[in-house]
Amino acid sequence: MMNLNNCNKIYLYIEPYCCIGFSEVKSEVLIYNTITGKSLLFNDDFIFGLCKQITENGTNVTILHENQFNEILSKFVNSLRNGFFGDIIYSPDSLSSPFIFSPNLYLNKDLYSIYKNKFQEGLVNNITLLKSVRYVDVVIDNNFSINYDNLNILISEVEKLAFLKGLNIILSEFNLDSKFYCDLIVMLSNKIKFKSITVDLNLIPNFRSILNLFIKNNFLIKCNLYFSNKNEEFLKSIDEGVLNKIYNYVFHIENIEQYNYFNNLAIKYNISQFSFRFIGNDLAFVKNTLFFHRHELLATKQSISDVIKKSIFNVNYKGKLIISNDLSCYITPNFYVGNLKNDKIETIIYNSFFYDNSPWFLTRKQVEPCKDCAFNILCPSITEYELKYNCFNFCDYNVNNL
Amino acid sequence: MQVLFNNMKRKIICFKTNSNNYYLYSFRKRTYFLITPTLYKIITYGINVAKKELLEKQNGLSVSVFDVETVEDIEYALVKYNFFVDNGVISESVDFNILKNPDITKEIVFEEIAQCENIVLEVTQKCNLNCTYCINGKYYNNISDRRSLSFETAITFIDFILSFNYKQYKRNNLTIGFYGGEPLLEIDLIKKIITYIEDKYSSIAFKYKITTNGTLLKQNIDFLIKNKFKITISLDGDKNHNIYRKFKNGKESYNIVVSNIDYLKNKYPNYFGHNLVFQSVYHKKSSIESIYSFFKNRYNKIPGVSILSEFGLNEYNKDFFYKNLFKAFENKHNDYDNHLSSINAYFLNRFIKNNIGIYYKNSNCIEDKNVPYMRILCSCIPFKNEPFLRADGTIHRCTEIDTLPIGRVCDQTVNIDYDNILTEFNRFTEKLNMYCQVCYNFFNCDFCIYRASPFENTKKVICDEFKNYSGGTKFYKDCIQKIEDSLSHKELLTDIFYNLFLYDEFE
Repeated sequence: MMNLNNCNKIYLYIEPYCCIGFSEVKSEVLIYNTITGKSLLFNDDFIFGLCKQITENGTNVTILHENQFNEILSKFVNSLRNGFFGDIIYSPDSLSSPFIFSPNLYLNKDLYSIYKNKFQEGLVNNITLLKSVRYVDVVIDNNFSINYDNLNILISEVEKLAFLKGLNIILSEFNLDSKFYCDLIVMLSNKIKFKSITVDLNLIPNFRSILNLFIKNNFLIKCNLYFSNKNEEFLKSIDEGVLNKIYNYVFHIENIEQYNYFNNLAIKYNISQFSFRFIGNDLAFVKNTLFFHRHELLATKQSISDVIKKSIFNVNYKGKLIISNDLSCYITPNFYVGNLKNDKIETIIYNSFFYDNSPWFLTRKQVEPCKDCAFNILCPSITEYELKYNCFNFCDYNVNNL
Repeated sequence: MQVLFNNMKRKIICFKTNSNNYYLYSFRKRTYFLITPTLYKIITYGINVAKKELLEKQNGLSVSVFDVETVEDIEYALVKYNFFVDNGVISESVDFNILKNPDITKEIVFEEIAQCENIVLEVTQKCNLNCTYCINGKYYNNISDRRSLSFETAITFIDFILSFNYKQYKRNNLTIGFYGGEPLLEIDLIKKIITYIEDKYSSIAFKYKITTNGTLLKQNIDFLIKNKFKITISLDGDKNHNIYRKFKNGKESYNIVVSNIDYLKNKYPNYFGHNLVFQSVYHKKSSIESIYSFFKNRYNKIPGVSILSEFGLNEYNKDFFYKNLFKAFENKHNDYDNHLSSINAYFLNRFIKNNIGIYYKNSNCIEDKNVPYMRILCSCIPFKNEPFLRADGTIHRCTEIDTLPIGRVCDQTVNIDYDNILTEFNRFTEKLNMYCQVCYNFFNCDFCIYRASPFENTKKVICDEFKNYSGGTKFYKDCIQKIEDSLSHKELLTDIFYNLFLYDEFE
């Protein structure tokens, strides 16, 4: 027999297209509507507890009682209804609680099977591992020893990467007069379907002479430009048609003067595709430049997929691997994961998954002070600058400022 | 039916569950939305009725549909309805490109061969059992000369797959399934093949699978474990359900098979846990509930269940087959519905995966915005899903469809009839498209296009999975109903949500 005493229910629910962020420190809750891009922020203990209930039972639904309806709750419900964040349903004849699927991403095979089989013997042979790497940066500089064994290891290991989207060969700090390097680039490019090349213009005096080689081999060329007086001379000397073949310029800057200089240069030479990369150790400059305001964050419309994937892994690093001259592999310049001479690439990728604090899975929920901030569901993934300076609050929302 | 094809719009799926909760299912957003009874009425009766009755109500007149609602309720529900329409939650339009089975070209087949990571070899047609329902038995027309695969034919096929280069596709692994008859009767051939390929292709990671009746398991288990075989054992359930699986002398196989399985379970419990699954045949003397109970209780496993093949039936024995052996597929679904246990976990698991949230083939696809979800049906593309080399050298799409070969190994050469397989595939999918575009079960469908053979004669597609509007509504309602029913069964819910990928293990 059904228990009719429990039939008079009021259900409060959050729509499945909304995401909820909590700040335990501030008892704050942020509800973000991925359809409208609007958000609601509450910092009331009662509402905080209510929203916790909604998410903790995994259904986005909780039961209210009429005697709970105080002014705060009424305001909360009205805000939800007005912005289509959620609603209440008064169901005198409801026999059991309704159910709402929380938004989710379902990943087949790789991540899950790796996680599930973490401790199983023979895992490193699991081919699914090789599907995890999407982008490989091969950094070649002056220290690159002309070692064909190393080269063969590199090529054969990179060839195994089943889902490789981009092989980025980064040439820096050496003289490209040598035919060897040209042959090397062509050889690598022939092996991999997707390829791009990044060169440090200032450090390669004869870049112009090999530009045609890159264009001929259908490389996507990306140039790093550091602050120097030679930049303008160099750009002047290249035909406009060739200038456009370079798909992106990365201006390496240390201060505001350099920032202005490159901005003017880009305008003068009609360069439309460019970005800035901060170098040097001027934390104040980086912080001032990267500083973002809360209203900017809230003004960026994000899909449900954007929000969820950021909560699972770091979109800046996941699937990226840097291989240096001596075949050492890194995820970030400071995060060593193995060496191709000693380790199979499967082992290196395995390490990338399971090392503590692997940047592939470094999310805002793991670092101070972001983990206690309700806005961490919307914040972009942690960037290289934050890792470099070990500082994760490049925002105007200081969670400790209670 | 012609009207159906001209109308590419879909009606809105909304319903009331047995627990008196109201939902709508949004194809575009791929999830359920809990809705108020008022919004449900607006969707059901139409927005014009709602507007008309709202006006009447505001003027103090009595109304018939929105009789219990207040003016504020109706006004808010109308605003929300419009919000849902404006933002695609409620949508009748269909993205034609998504709801379309793929046309294939020769290049697509080349790509599939170059990327093919699973093949199945019928190492022998011989078997030490004489199961009543065997496809080589008296109920089928199959003429089997009980031959075994030659070593040369096997390696010619494997060499063809592994040396097939197209564009820049790189292959790093290959899974080989050994099939029969009873493949363990040809254990020496299996060993010879493995030794050959592992010596020749040191850069390829090989994985092995075998489907066996389990009678010869004990004496071969060390070899299988050494090579990390995934083992599928055909067993129909307890002694009563396994009654059709007999030796040639008529003796039942149950005791020997179970004793071998118990040996494996006790001696290698970890291997048993991770590398062994069961496959049961569903027939007149079995029920889903008893099959699942047997395997769950005895081995803590969830078996795969398949129905008897209706292909190539012998006309002379057909009536007897249907009367005494065959149990139709829809009974399986009924059994699923009635059985609230791990079966639901399986069923809901598949449903959730295909109909709720954003399902990606792998984690890298997340970054590709143009890969929203995957479609199961693509497995019918030749070489996409386990091409099957029979002992006679013919190559088939899979182990299930063996009447339409796609090629042949002859004189140590592989011949693939590309033109024929393209024409055939595209002819089948073109006809099916008309149904798929209006089917409410499109994303959950794993219908095999080649099972639609009856339409060769009748000009009518027979599709077990097709669901029209009412069928679709029932389907989506049943699924959320199961969840609602399960809310009081915490363990079951955990089973569903924490094991979402459990069943991919042997895919």
